[in-house]
Amino acid sequence: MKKTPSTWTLQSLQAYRKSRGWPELSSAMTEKVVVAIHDIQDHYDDKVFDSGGEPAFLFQPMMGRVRNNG
Amino acid sequence: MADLSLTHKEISELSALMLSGQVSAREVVAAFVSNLELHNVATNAFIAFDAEKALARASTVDALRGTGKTMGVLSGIPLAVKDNYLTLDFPTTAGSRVYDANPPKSDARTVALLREAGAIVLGKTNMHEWAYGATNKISAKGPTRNPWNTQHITGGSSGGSGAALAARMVPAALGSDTGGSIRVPAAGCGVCGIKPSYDFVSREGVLPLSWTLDAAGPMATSARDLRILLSVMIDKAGPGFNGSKADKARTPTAKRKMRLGMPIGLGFELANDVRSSFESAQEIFTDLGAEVVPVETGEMMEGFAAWKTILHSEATAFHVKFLSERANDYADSVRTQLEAGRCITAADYLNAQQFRRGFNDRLDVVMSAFDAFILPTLPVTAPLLDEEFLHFEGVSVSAQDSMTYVAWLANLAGLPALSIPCGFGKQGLPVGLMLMGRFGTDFDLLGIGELFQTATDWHRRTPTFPSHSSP
Repeated sequence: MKKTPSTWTLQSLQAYRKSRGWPELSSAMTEKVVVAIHDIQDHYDDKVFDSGGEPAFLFQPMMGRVRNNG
Repeated sequence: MADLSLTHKEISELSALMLSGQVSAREVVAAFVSNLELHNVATNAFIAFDAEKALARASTVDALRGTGKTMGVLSGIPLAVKDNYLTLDFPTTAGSRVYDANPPKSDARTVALLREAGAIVLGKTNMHEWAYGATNKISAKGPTRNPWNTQHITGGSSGGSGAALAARMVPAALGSDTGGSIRVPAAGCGVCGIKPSYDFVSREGVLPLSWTLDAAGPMATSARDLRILLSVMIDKAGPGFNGSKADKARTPTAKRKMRLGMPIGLGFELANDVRSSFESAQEIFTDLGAEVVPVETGEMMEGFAAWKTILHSEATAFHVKFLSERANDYADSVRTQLEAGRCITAADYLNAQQFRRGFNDRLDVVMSAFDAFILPTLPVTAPLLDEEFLHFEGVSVSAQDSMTYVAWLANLAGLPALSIPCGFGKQGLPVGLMLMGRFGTDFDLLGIGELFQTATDWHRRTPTFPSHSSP
């Protein structure tokens, strides 16, 4: 399993938010958000986040699954 | 003077007493209201209630019963409603300062069904702000405290409903569950709760956290009561409902040996005192004739990553408008998660959903050999209110992550999962047992839970107040 840690930093988050026109966060909040992003994305690994070239079907197939197995 | 012994009875017992005329609905409601008035300050379980209105409705039920009219199965039964269900007669805030909606045009679909069956809504229960957390420490109305020891959390996000049941302020309550939010407070407070199969219960009028993970469901003091409530709540017109399967619960009998799969390995670590209660529960099932089989599920870390990605993406999508208009009204910890969700790409979200599809299919193959999976609802008992990190079996996790440690699995897979009490830990706090089944086996799970509760009395234990220190 190949893990790819998140690349978000304080600076990249601030720059990203600015580019989107979102309000500036306090430095304390920026720090917390970066920690939170890492907490989500540091778990990422190729098994989950590489669909291997297959299209992502999202919700409809799951609903189909629900109906089929119900 | 209210008869408090009534508050220790199950729904079916209360209904029988009312039906036979031994007790009136007003007496039943008055008993639970007494407990509410005694214990709500210590627990902060209810954030809004109206005793007068509930008593007046009970009198109406009594008057109707006197006319010989056919009554609903929940006639005169007091009900607590989590604060993310829309209700006509109480404000709905999702435990936040952000949402102070105008009165809705109608009750949430589930609340309407329960009222039609005769339930009397006593009030709204406290919750983790926007259900975005599983401790119930974060709420605009203050933290909820565990009736077994008010220095401890209840678990969340339906913590107010869990505390209200444990303190016998109501015999029935509503919760919602995105990563364990019904089962976690049920385990933390020593009561019962079921997260139904995805779409079995309508989410119409329930403020969402993550719409492909969310489930609305009942909480009560026994598996038998959950069956009564779920039978009323099930959305027979919903896309997930299949009547033929749902109506025929396969309660295990001596004719067929029950097989329970017990997941082991990475992601299923436990504190020692929880392990002890969990092993005793396995022995009880063995004594009841079941076979308990250890089983490797695999992919737990990958599944957890997918669950987190979906949760954060969908939660942020719902909150985008509020974030732009009222960002400062969120609790810091909730806003942090929502802002973090803005950084997840659409590609990551889609890949997580794609992984989910295969994960669920692989899990279903493993589960097909069993009547249900058996596992502890929580790896620990309810932490102290100020406890930030917990350590067990070589792992160190935040209090928040300890609450969703294994519970998320049922949400990612859309499966039914039941939590029932199975003992007490070393601090005198309840331990919960989780039963997770294949899609659509909700009533089978309740059958297994009922069987367990014929051999145990953990679900009948109640806390002693004041409960400010460990017993």
